[in-house]
Amino acid sequence: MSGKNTEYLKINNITKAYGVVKALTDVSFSIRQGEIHTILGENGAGKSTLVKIIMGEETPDSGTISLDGEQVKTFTPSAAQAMGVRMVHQELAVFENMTVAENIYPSHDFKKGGRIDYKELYKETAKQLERFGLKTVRPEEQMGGVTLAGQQMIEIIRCIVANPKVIILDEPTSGLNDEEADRLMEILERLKAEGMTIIYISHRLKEIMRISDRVTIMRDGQYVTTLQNDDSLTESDLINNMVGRDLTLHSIKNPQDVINNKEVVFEVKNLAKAHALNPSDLQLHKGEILGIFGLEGSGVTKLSRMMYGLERKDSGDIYVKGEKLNKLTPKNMVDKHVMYLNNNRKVAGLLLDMPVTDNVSLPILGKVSNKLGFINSKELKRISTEYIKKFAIALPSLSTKPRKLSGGNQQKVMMSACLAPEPEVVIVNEPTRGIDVGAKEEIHKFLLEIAKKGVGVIVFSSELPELMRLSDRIKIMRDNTIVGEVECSEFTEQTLMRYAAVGASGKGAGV
Amino acid sequence: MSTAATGRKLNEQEKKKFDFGGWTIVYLTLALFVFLSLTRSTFLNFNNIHSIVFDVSVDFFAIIGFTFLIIMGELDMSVGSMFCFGGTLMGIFCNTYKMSAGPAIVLAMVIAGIIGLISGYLITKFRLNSMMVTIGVMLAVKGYNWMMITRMTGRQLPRESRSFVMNKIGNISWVILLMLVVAVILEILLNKSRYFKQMYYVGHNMETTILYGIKANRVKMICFAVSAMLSTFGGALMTCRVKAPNVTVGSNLEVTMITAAVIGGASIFGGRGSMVKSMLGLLFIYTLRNGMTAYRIDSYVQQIILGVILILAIIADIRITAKRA
Amino acid sequence: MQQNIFKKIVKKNESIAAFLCIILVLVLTLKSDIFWDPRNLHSLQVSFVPTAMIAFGMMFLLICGYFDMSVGSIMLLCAIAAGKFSMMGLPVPVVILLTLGVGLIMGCINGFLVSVVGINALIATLGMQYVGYGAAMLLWNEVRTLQSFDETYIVLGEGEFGGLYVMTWVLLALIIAFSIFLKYAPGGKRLYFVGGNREAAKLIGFNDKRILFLAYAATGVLSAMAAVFRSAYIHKPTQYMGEEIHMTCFIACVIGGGSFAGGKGSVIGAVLGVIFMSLLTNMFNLLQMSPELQNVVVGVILVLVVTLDGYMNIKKLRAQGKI
Repeated sequence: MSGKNTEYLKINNITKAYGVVKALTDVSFSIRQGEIHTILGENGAGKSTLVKIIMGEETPDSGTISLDGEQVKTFTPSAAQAMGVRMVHQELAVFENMTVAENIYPSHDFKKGGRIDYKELYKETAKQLERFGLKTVRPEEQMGGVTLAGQQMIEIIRCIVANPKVIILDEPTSGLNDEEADRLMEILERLKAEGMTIIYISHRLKEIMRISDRVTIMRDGQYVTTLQNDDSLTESDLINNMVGRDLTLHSIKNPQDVINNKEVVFEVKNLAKAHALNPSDLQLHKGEILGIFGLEGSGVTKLSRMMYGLERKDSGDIYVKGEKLNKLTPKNMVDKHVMYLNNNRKVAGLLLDMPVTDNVSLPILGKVSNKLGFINSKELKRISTEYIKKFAIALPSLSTKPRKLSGGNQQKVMMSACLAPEPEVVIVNEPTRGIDVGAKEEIHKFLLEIAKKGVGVIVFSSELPELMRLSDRIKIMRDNTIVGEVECSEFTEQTLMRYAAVGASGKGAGV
Repeated sequence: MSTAATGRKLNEQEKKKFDFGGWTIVYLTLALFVFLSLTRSTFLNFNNIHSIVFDVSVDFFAIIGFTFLIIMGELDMSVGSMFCFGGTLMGIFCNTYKMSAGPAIVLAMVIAGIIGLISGYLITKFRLNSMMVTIGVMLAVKGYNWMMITRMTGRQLPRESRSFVMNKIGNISWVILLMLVVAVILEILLNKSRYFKQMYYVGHNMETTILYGIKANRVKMICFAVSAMLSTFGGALMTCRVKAPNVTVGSNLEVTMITAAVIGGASIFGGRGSMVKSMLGLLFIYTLRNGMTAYRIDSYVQQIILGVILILAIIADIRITAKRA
Repeated sequence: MQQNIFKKIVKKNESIAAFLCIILVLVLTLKSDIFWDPRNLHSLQVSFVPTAMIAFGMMFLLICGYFDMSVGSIMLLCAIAAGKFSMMGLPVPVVILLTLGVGLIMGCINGFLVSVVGINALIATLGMQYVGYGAAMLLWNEVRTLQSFDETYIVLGEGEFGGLYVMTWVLLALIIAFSIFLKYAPGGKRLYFVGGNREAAKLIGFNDKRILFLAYAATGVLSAMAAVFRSAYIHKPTQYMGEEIHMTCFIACVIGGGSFAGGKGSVIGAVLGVIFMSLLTNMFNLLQMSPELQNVVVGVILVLVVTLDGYMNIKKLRAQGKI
């Protein structure tokens, strides 16, 4: 080898768009051989899309990738694996019904005379487990019985024993505690010493500062910069580059308008679930917009779903307008005039192949039908048209199916369904994910409008500017816990990101 | 059984154009009618057609609940044995307990409804595969039917019940007229009534309906009960016609039901289906059978042909669903 | 150390099946004088062996997370086809090979429909069950006149060796072969991978379509084998062969550790499950329960077994926090 290759993995002008959403725009940088290279960025910065392309799971619209001088010709997982790239996904691809050994060596058969040599398999596995410090895990153990941290480690081992040239780790410490994350860091450092090239994706600044050689920061699908991790690099440098944009962006709300002393319309007390959510409380006042911010893996989705009865809880109570809900189900919520806007409209929240009017009618079936249950289509049309006008939804006709609409318009249809029953509380989860700027504006405007009219709004979002525009207060979550609350008068992106990535006391997750 | 139940995901090349459009079943049935009228002299006479439509109308009751369930993405494989169950219970109530036909049918429906509720409860609460559970119910009920019917050999149902069923208004059996009326009413309800429309919503995306407060599980449970009740009713009618409970009543009805519903536009993935078109699907199948018999095609060959039609219909269903995605 | 082994054995899925079998044996010992009569036990083999063969096929499919409703029709069709081939005057080995071929073809069609075309397994095999039955009955018209198979053929069914029927020895060989296959052959292991996480298996590079296709093909051949042995014992094919056997085998496999969710199951489990079903049927017969009542009981057991399986699955998903 003629010395370390400084352009080992070269990413050239990669662009990828999903419809109108530009996931990656002209991204170019390179990764050196044998370094630990972190890719850092908020949700939606484009990190996942980029590594999916490197891994062959997505094809770029334009641009090239080359590894060790060889350009990637086809973008498929097998081709990437053949070139020597392996990835440990955030969503583990494990086989819980198989043993640990079989998860580490799924296709390596350790054949002795045509049959699998279990002794050898377990011996090699034991060696690897020992090498990576998994002392309590036995090779013959069933994967389903191993902790999440252990499973994550095992999937990493699976990648490593394939002797890849490059390993990509996507948020590997998201389920680990401090000690486990620590151990992972040590292993990565050791691998680097052995010559492995590692791409590391994480939010956890302390970890990043510890092990990275260099850090590439991405924002809004674009490459921002690559920083050398020498003594002069600070967390603030990272945070500043992450949020960039308008460093003086304040909340557009007037502090005097903050409505903290009006009645509490929605309250969560002690909501918790083992391994998913630590005991959480919050209070929502009439006409208030409460923002909840957290990076991937912080527990925001679980909180939002458990709050509405979409997932089981271990403990906790919800109070709507002071009255405790004895059974936490979506139906009871709807009856109490609390509506939920789902974060993934492709999965739930819309009937993609049924007319828009049917979509809007879902929560107001009672309202638009007569005593016999017959739907008054005129009334339904009227209500639908009202919201179409309000949101300026571009619809060929009322019977158009949402599948044919753009992301922004789909989101607006979903909002119309949520708001049709004229709720008093609206829980909104990622209201503007994957939609164009214009639609974003309109939805924000509308949320502010209904808040002014007295509707209480809880907004879960991973986009800081959005939350800062809308919220009166923002709560921040990290590691399944609410770690802080900031009033709108004190909003700065740096403060909020610091809470989310590091923690107020400076104690970061992981290391 | 997530992978088996939904089939594997289709890749880009397979989403070919294969949509029948909503009127296909009508065209198919008309074409079949025309063909048979032209080629078989025995086909186009009143008695023959009336007989076909009568058979359809009796089976129609079983397909009502079946269509509701298939719209919601569930399959009820017990319709055949429930059909026979109606006759069995009628036999027991009329012969052993000397009940008259009317109350006997009603009581049979109540019992069937309870069985349906139990299946529905298990399926919704434990998220079970409806096909497997209803197959179990089918087995149990079939065994019960056989058991009871062998004990009742030779005993016929009250004579009035047969003549009642065979009554005609004008020249047409009232059962046929009832079917037409019910089919139209249900079709209207499915399009206009919130209680029926929500079945489409549940079939389309159950999670979405739950999100907006619709009690999806309860709707499904009720439909399982309704399916059992109406199949029992249809079977009771059929049994009256053949004068005594008979094990062949309702045999292999499940395959007929699935085929009729799917060629009538329903999808096993849920979200699509129509009462009138299910009825037309049945009409198509029975006309086809009648035609094949007129051509002296062996009944077992007919069975093979129908099985192949089922498979082809399902393949078309997959193509259409993939095209929409 | 001993405690650990004990715990390990109890935790195994097959233990439930073994436990149920022991209970049945106890009940039968108490309630019937005839059970332990050597002739009774001997006669059990004849229904047990063919069912077990089909159960193996079904277990392979269950491990992958799939199912085959048409095994009964395949068995019927093969038995009748064997009759037809015999009537054509073909030598016995050819008859057997052709019969196995028929089973193979049916299995391949199933595999094609489910794996390649992507049809819902239950419906595709339901359709094939219907078609298979029709084809079998078509042939039956010709074959019903067959008085008896050739002597050599009948040996397969009636022949004994060392106290057990020939078919039992074949079954034992299959048990050993399949157990080794599932545990020690890479191909066997892949069934578990595909059943455990089909998407991940694809990512690793396993050809899930081919694995599934072969499982269906194997089930077809096994159904044919069962048909050969059973029809050999009875001396000629009958029109009732294979009725409801798919349900019996399914229950046996689920009791023996298989699950709708896939990824679980074993040959021993299938065997224990079939032993259970055979003992159950034996008990019904010795108690003089009519076949119809037996059907009722089996149907109820099926519902119970499916419900329990679903319930355990939900519990597992809840514990993992996925629901």
